[in-house]
Amino acid sequence: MRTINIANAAKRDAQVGFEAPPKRERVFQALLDGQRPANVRYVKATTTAAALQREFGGLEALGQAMIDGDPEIDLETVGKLIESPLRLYVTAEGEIAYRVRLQQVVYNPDGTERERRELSRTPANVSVEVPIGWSKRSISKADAIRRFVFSRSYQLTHTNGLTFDFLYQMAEELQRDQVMRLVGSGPNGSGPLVLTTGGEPYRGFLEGRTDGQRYALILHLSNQELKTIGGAQ
Amino acid sequence: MARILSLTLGGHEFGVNPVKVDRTKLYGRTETVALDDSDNPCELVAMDRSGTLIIPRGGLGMGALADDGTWADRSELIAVGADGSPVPVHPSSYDTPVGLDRKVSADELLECNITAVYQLDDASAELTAAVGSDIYTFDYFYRAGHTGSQAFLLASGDAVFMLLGQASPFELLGLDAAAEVLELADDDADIDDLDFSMM
Repeated sequence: MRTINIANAAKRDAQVGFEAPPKRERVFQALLDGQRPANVRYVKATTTAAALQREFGGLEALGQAMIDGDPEIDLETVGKLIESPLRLYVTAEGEIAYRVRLQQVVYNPDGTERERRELSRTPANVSVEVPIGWSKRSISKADAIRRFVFSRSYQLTHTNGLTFDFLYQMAEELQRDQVMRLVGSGPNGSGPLVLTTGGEPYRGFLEGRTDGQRYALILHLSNQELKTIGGAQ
Repeated sequence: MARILSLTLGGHEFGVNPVKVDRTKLYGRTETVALDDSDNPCELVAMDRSGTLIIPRGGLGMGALADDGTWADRSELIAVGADGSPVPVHPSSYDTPVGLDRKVSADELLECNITAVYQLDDASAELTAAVGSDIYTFDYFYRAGHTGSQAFLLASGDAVFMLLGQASPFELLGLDAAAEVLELADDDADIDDLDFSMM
């Protein structure tokens, strides 16, 4: 289980576990005898129509070359099963690019380019020395679901008795006040959360539920407001 | 052509046009490009583990193999549930009116990860008023098939949204220990000035 370093309102922090609840598949594809087949990847082609057109000088020339040469399908290659393929870059000429420079292109909502910059990978910030902070900003659940789109969620899990108390208290507070609390990076706990280096930044909201001596502390992540395109919410 | 979703609520039928609200339409997007020494764009392709085969984009296909290694054509496959029983084909939600007769709480909505957001264009003021502060749910099938999504309908401001979600239920965790409640500080801070473009 991955760890997250999180602080509460009193600035007490602890490393606790966090994981996404397991996805429950409800529908599967099976053969008539009930067997579930294994999904595999295979080679369909090792070139493209565009590359062949470049090589032969156009579609008509390509067609004529195929008529003249009457090539056979390479049965050793086509249909070959591929496991865990490697990724690499090739130039426009199809040559392997041994050295590439990665750039990030930022586009506006209308598709126009806004800027270009060298790619920088934002480091993960959930399991570092500086804990994720409990900000002063809270919002009712009813408002939260009408303002933000929560696309991911993770359950925080205690690792021992002390952290059980630590998390239980947070959950109880949140349930009592019926709010979700903004948590995040930075001194005010309002900075974005990055779960993995180079990953998408998200806003994090904590939800707490308790039932007797049991608790659930859920970190809901959002990177989208609930609003209409081109209009206000 | 826009597909009209018919919703029935409180004895009235409302026709709406769901329009997907993509994050890119709100904030834009970023794309990573690779450039060679001459600043020409490079393409990301695949290579097999032996390093002898370069496979261009679109050159890999997906298939299914039975336990004995024989090819299983997609047309031979049937949809089954976790217990192995066949799953029926559901009609598209656009074929017949969808009754909004099941309300849920905010807690139930929070037990789903939202996978898609639609604004309901042509939603009338009557529909917005009828939905009010309630949250309705129904099984949504874009086209006839075995697998749909759980849809949530709710109003926010003057707009009505349809959220598609995937259930992500969690369990309450227990351990024998007493808990002490901490005093919360007063909260005057505003939540309106958060930057969601984050680019």
